[in-house]
Amino acid sequence: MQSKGDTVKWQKQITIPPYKNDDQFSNDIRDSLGLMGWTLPWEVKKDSASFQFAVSHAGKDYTVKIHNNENILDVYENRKGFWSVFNGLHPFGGDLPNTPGMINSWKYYQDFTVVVLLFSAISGIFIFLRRKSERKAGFIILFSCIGLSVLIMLSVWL
Amino acid sequence: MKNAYNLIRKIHLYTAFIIVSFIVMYFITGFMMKHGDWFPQSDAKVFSKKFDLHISKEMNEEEWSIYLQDKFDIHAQRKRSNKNNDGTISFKYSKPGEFSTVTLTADKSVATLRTQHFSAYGTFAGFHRLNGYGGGWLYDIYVFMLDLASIALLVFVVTGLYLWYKLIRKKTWGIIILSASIIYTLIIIALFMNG
Repeated sequence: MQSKGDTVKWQKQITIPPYKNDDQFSNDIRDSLGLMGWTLPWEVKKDSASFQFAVSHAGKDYTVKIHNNENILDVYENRKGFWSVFNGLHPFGGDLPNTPGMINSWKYYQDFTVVVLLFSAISGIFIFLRRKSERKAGFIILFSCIGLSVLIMLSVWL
Repeated sequence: MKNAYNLIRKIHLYTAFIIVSFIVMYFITGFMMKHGDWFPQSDAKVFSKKFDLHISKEMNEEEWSIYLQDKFDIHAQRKRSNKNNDGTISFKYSKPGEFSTVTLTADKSVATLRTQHFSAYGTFAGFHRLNGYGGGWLYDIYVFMLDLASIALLVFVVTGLYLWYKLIRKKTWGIIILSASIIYTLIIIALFMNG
């Protein structure tokens, strides 16, 4: 079984698409190979005999090498590990090429989470307001903290 | 048992009070970043200026960074400096809505200040992305508050689960929803790891 950091090389035969520019060529080959991820324009390396590009997503990096326009491509696959995926979920906004629909549903889950958390914050304060015993002390702490936080944000900005 | 419940309830309540502004800031800025195309965006405005320096004192890069920040009156977080291939050094300063670079020539006689001013969208994104200690006391406080907000969110979740467990008699729906969200997240992680 491939573990984090191990690079596995495999080969696949495809029909090489016509070249228009680096982006289109890389994307077409990625799609032919069925690789999930974004192509990285800054990772393109080419000369008269070869073309190399990279595909990446939160869980894996791929380097794809084409030699002399041959149909058999070398693919170097690197697994990033659990924590990379875990961290990658934070900024992941969906629309990753060649993914199962379920992965792209993450963006809706993120939006739903934001709404639920905002609702929790507002409803939590509302529930607190119904208890008279801690209302005064709670209000002092709440408004002091909001005031201080906003002051820090403004100081950082201005 | 009632004392423990009251203690957890108070931790839950006051933790939320302390960090509510930063968490709301995170929600709003994060939502804006995720849906960037819904908000008006414009290119950053760039200003550039050259200055002659007459400094005889020897300084390390950190001291240069502080000196240049004071000299050019840059109110921003000091970031790491870069040595460029041509011998120049770039000192970077960042704050929400603004990014400044001071490039110092190899003989340290001329400094070029380049400042980018971002739109409202860029400013909000700057609030969300500001991170790292060591760039000035004000920014250290801000980053500390962000760390506090992250820890508080974890405390908030754990104490919230405890309160739910103690308060709610029929837990079936809660268990179903909690399990579903955990299983869904694990499936997404598994798909990424094997995709």
